Amino acid sequence: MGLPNVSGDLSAEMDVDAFRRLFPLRFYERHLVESIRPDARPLGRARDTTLALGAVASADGSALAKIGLTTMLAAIKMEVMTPSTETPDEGSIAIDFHMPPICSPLVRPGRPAEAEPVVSKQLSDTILSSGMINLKELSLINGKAAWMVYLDIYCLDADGALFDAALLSAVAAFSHLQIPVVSLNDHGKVVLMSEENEGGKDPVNKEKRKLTLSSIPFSLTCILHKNYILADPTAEEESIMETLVTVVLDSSGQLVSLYKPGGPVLAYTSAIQDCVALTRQRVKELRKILDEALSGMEVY
Amino acid sequence: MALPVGLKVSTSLFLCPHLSIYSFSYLILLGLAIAFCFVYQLVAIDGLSSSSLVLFVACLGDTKVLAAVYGPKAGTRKNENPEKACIEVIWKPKTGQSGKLEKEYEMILKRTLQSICILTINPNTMTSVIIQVVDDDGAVSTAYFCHFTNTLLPCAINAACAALVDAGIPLKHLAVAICCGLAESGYVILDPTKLEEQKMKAFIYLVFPNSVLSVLPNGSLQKKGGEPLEHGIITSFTQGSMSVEDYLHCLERGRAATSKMSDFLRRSLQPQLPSDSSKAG
Repeated sequence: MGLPNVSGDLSAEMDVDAFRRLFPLRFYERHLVESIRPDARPLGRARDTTLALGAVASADGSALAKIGLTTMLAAIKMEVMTPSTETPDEGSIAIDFHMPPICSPLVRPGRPAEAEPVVSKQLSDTILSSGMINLKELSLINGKAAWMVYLDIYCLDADGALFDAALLSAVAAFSHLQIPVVSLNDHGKVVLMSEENEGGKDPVNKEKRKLTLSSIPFSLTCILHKNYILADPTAEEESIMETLVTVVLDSSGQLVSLYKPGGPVLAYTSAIQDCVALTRQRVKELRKILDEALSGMEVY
Repeated sequence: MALPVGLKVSTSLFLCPHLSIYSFSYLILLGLAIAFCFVYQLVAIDGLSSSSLVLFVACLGDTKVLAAVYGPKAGTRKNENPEKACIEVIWKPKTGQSGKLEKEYEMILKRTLQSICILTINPNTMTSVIIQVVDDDGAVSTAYFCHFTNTLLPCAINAACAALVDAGIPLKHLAVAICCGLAESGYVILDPTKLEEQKMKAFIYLVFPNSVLSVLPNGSLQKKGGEPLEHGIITSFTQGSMSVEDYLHCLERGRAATSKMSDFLRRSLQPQLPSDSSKAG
C-alpha cells in the first residue's frame, strides 16, 4: 500500500495471483473501477444462498444456511422452566453463537474467536428488538411453567458476512420449530410427553405447536470503500476493506438495526440510503428463499 | 497512590438548537448534560518507552466512566498488522465478570478508536485503552435481555477519546458520541435519563468526527459550517425497531447536537495542551 507506483509498474509483468497477494487493495480497486468483483459478481449482488430446514433430527427446530461458502447450522432445543417472578407469563430465549476451529484458519483451538461473543450479542439484540417472537407465546402455565428456548448457531465455514448467514439460519430454525407436547404429571409438574407414557393424560399444549413469527428480520452486510458499496463481502474482502455496515430490515420494512462499528470510511446519508435500498432488495430475495424452503417441508 | 486533582472542569452543557421547531412543550429535550467532571493526570511511567498513563473520567448524568490509556508499547498482538499501530480495549464492568455485552463494547470501541487514530505513525506498537465503569446508573444486565444504561457506550467513547488526546496519541480528529432515544410518537430525546429511557421504543448510538481543526493547537472556536467530514458516521449502533425515516431524522438531530459537543470538547481539551510536554519524553 505504501508504494502504489511500484505496484502500478509491476502489474504488467507480474503473475495475477502474486499481484493479488502483494497488493490486495490495488487488485480490488482495479476490479471496482470496472464495477465487478474478483468472483465475477457485480458490486451490489449477494452470493448464492441456500437454506435447508430440519438438518438436525434430534433438535426441535433446525436449519442449515449457506451464503456463498459461509455456512451456518442453527438448532433449537426447548426446555420447560419456571418463569421469573418479574415476567411470570413469558418464556425466554438464550442465543449462543459458536465458532469452532474448523470454520476459519484464524480461529485457533482452545482460544475462542473474537467475533463469537460479538455476533452472539448482535443476534440476540436483533431477534429480541425485531419483536419476531412474542415471549408470551412461550408461556405454558402462568407463573408455573414456560419454555426456555436454547438456540445454538454453529459456524461451519466462515467466509465473510457471518451475521447475515447466522441470522438467516436462526430465523429459518424458528420457522421450522415444532414445539414439543407436554403434559402435567401426577405431582403437578410439567413434563415432556413421550410416545410411551401418553397414558390418557391431556397434553397442555395440544393445539399450539408452532410459533407465530410476526415480523421476520433479514440482514445484509455491505462494505464501504471510497464511493463503492460492496454487498455481502467474502472474508478476503472483509480483511482488505475494513468498513462494514450491517442493515437489518424486517418483512414490514422497519429498520431493526443499523450497525457500523467504526472503520476508516465515514458513512454519509447517501451511503446509508444506498445500503438500505440494497437491503430492501435482499430482504425480498431471502424472504422468497425462506418461503420456498418452508413450502418444500410441507410436502412431506 | 495519591490522586492529584489536576484540573477540575465541571461544566454542563445544555443544547437547544432546535427548540423553536417544536412548539409542544415536552416534545424535545435536547438536554444534553455533559459534565466532564475531573481530569486526573497521573505520572508518566517510563520516560524511555514514552508510555503514558492517563485517566479520564467522563460523566453523563449519573453514568461515570474512567478511561486509561497506556502506550504506545513495543510489539503488537498476534493476528494484528505489524505495519500499523494496534489498539487494545479492555472493558471492565462495575461489578462482576465481563460477558458478551462487554466484549461487544470492546469491539465497537476498538474499531471506533482505530478509525480516529493515525495508525501509521507508530507501527508495530500497541496502545491499551482501559475502560472502567464507575457508576452505571443502576444498570442491570441479564443473560437474555440487557437493561443497561444507554449512556454508557457514548460516555465511554467520549472518555476514551479525551484520554487518547491527553496521552498524546496522534489522532486524525476527535470522535463525539451521542445516544438518541426515539419515542413511540417519533420525537427524539438526546442522551435520555433513566426515567425517560422507559418510554423509548428505540435507541440509536452515533459517533461523529469533529472537524480536523480541533486537533491543531491553534484551532479556534469558529463555526465549521457544512463541512462534509463531520456529517459522516464513524459508528452506528441501534436497539429496537424504527422506520428508516426515523433513523435519518435522528441522524440530523445527532449531528446538530454533536457540533456543540465538539466545541465543548475542544474548549476543555485546549488548556490541556501545554501539559503534554511533560509526558512527551
